[in-house]
Amino acid sequence: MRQDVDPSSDLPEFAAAMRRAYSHRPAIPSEIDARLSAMAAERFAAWRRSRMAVRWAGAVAAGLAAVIALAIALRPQRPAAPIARATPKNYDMVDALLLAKHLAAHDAVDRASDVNGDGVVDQRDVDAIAAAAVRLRQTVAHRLPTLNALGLDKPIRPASAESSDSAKAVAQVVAAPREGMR
Amino acid sequence: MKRLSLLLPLLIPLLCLAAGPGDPAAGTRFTSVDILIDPKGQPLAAYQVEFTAEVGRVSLVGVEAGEHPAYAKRPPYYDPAALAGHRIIVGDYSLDPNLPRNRVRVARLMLEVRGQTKPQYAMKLMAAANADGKTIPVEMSLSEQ
Repeated sequence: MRQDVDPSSDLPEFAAAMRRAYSHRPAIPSEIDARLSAMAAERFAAWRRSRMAVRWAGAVAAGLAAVIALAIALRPQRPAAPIARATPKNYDMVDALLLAKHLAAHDAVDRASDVNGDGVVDQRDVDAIAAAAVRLRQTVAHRLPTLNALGLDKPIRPASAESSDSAKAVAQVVAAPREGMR
Repeated sequence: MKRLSLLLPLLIPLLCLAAGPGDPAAGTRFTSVDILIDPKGQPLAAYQVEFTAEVGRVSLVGVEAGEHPAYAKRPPYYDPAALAGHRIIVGDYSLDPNLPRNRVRVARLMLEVRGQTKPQYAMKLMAAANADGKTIPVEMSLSEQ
């Protein structure tokens, strides 16, 4: 518990002595003072420099991250493999080549190129396209002319005389590839 | 009975000869036909051809790879159902940087030819492309070994 000394108490001399003892300012030489000040200034300067270096490093890292993110975001996307140029019924070996090239280059590939339907576009799809290209049945179907090409785009009426000619034409066309299959 | 016992030693060899299989090799031979493509200076990155034996009793028995390193690593693609038939579609592609630019054997077909009729073959180009997938003009030919 602290009690202030009353100057009007019975111990004025003691109080004065204590006041002198604790209120005097020691004389510090100006050289030591200057040296202490210099050391303090140097210590503070070093601390400030390290803080600035950390700040600059952070700013540079953030800038680099921003540049990389921008570069990725603005990277021109290469077009997906143009496998859609062929319908599944008339793939040829060029389709297999194009997909194989895109896969080898790690390009983005259209999901429509998942020919085997396993959810992944890979070499197995290339093989599936190549196998479809060389399938014999496909080419027989592919050889069949369309009704338009035959001029038979109108419905054939079996009972009429003119339809019998059309039916013969169809029969000839259908019979031709079958002969080739033997 | 006595006659039969005398004839039996003569009949048995005759019956065996009659019942035995005929010479299976008579009139049957195996041959091979090379499919050659000349891309005329352009790199041949993909091809697809249809081969048909139009005359003669011919059966396909096998398909071999081509001679150029770009097409020699594996046999070309073909439909296995074509084996034992007389028509086949073969095709292949290559990502090899060193593609053939001159006349090259892209496939060899192994054939079984039955009978004395000389077979006649036909070939139809279905696709030929350079490394960019662009169609290129080529010349095809066959060479029977």
